[in-house]
Amino acid sequence: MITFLFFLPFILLIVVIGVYSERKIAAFIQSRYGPMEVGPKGIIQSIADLVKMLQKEDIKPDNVDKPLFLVAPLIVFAAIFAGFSVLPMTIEIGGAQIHTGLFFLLAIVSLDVLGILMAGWGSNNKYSYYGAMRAVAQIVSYEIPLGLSVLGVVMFTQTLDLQEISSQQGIGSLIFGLSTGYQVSGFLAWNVFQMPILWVSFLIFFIAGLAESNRTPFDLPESESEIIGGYHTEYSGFRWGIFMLSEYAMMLLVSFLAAILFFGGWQTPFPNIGPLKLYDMTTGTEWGVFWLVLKVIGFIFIQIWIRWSYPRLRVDQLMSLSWKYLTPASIIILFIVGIWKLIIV
Amino acid sequence: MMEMINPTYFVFLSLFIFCAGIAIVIIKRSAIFVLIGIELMLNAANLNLVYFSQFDPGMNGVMTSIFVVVLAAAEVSIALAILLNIFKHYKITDPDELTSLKN
Amino acid sequence: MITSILTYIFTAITIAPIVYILITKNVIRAVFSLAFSFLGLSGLYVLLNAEFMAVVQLLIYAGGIIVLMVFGLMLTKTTLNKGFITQHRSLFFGSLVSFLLFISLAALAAQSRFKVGFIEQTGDPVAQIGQLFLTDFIIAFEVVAFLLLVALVGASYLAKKSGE
Repeated sequence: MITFLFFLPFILLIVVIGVYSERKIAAFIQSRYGPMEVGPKGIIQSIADLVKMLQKEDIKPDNVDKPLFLVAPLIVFAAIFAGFSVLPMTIEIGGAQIHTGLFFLLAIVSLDVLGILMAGWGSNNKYSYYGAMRAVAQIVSYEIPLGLSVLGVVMFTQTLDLQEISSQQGIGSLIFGLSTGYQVSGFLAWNVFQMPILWVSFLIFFIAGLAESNRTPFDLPESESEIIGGYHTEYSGFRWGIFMLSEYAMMLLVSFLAAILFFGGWQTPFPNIGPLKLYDMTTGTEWGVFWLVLKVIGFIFIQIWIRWSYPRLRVDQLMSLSWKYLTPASIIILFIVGIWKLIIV
Repeated sequence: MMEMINPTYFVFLSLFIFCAGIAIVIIKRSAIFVLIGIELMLNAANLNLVYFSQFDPGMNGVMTSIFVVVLAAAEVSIALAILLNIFKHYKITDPDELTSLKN
Repeated sequence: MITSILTYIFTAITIAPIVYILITKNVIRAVFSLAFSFLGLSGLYVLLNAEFMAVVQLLIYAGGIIVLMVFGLMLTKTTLNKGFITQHRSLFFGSLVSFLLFISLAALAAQSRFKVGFIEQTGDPVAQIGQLFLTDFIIAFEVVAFLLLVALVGASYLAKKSGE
């Protein structure tokens, strides 16, 4: 229930704000102003875009494979949206606390390739077909570093349950990976600071997450949409909107996971310094939601920033990055985390 | 959790999936359909194993079915590689028409 | 009560695509309905207290094997929307054989008395499975890992040889 009631409006809100902020941030990076006409400083711009998209005609071409064509966007969105069900928001609201939370999330998010294949095949259009094959190849190749990089975190925290991982990052017993007698709280208890090698894991996870949501520099499926079409050529109006919605939802999911797994989830960054109990003062139900949303917005900002700073990768560079660099790196990190946890801790 | 469902229900279900898999392998003329049938047969066996593993404290059924899944994945990848090779050579995907053993 | 209803719903989700696969001649639609069938099976595994197996089924079967099959299909047919229709052969005898098999095995199963005793599931099932992998099933684990390596190297060599 929480997923439906909270996350669905949250995704829609973030998409509306995200589209506007993407255009504004892109404009400021490129030394121009961005949308300024609609409303004061262009605030109502994305609502205007939304209204325009909703009132477009829903074109269903004659020669498409009707069942596959119509179901495809729903599967893509449903697969990504189902991953939100296991995310914990705060101490009391823990999502669906199943024993295999993280594993379930990675598995169900990997089902969106079925929707993309259906869209590419069902559109009866050679360009959609090739675009879909490339998009699926990209997504499937980058799932491997995505999964392997979070295995380091799982080995460190000994659990797959995301609410457990968040609560364990409140009081930590290591300082930068070395066990001393002191207990730390606040930002030093986060996983990246408890086991510093996890910074590299975080980097790999972030790059793989960018590739999973088809963001630049990995937006080969979308670049074809500027030139030819990609797998959402034949979709118009709201069906195309669902594809865009699922891309932003995936971006949001990657940000949530990065915040929860590596940066403390809903824990506050302020530590308890001696008699000044900052950690206890800034922890609570509403504080948890606040800190989590703050971190998520930070990661979304970084993703938008990266989009407008780096050029797009060619398809062979993309594949070689995943198979030749990220996968061996994440396996090596896995070994290092395991050995560190056994020997040094 | 499953107190109300007869165990025979699950045995019937896995039997149905198994026999559907056999029917698909026999009836259809395409190599990919044969692969689909084989996957269904393996899944039927998995369902049986997982159902009866509920009553086993050593979880033997679930472990065996994990190995079955891994083996099925390996088998499908090899089968598809062979099918691709056959298609490149003969341009046919119907296993009925591949009748010669010569190269 | 609610688990019974859920069991029936997931059984329907599993069986309906299988019936469609038996009837249809369109290969690509059959592969996608197989994906739905696997989703139904995954739901059944959750109801049978085996959530790790459910997630493995989702990840490997629905997410991996279906994608492999669709790619294999698309690389062997090149005309859109015309090359994926196949034929049936010996429809009568094939269905007769499998129907007789079903009837005989079902009659056998109906006569048996299964002794089921429910045990309490405590603790983390994932941790239990992990420990079992390295204690009771370690030989199978190592052998399967080696076999996967051999299979993947073999498959990539076979696929490469055709694409020279």
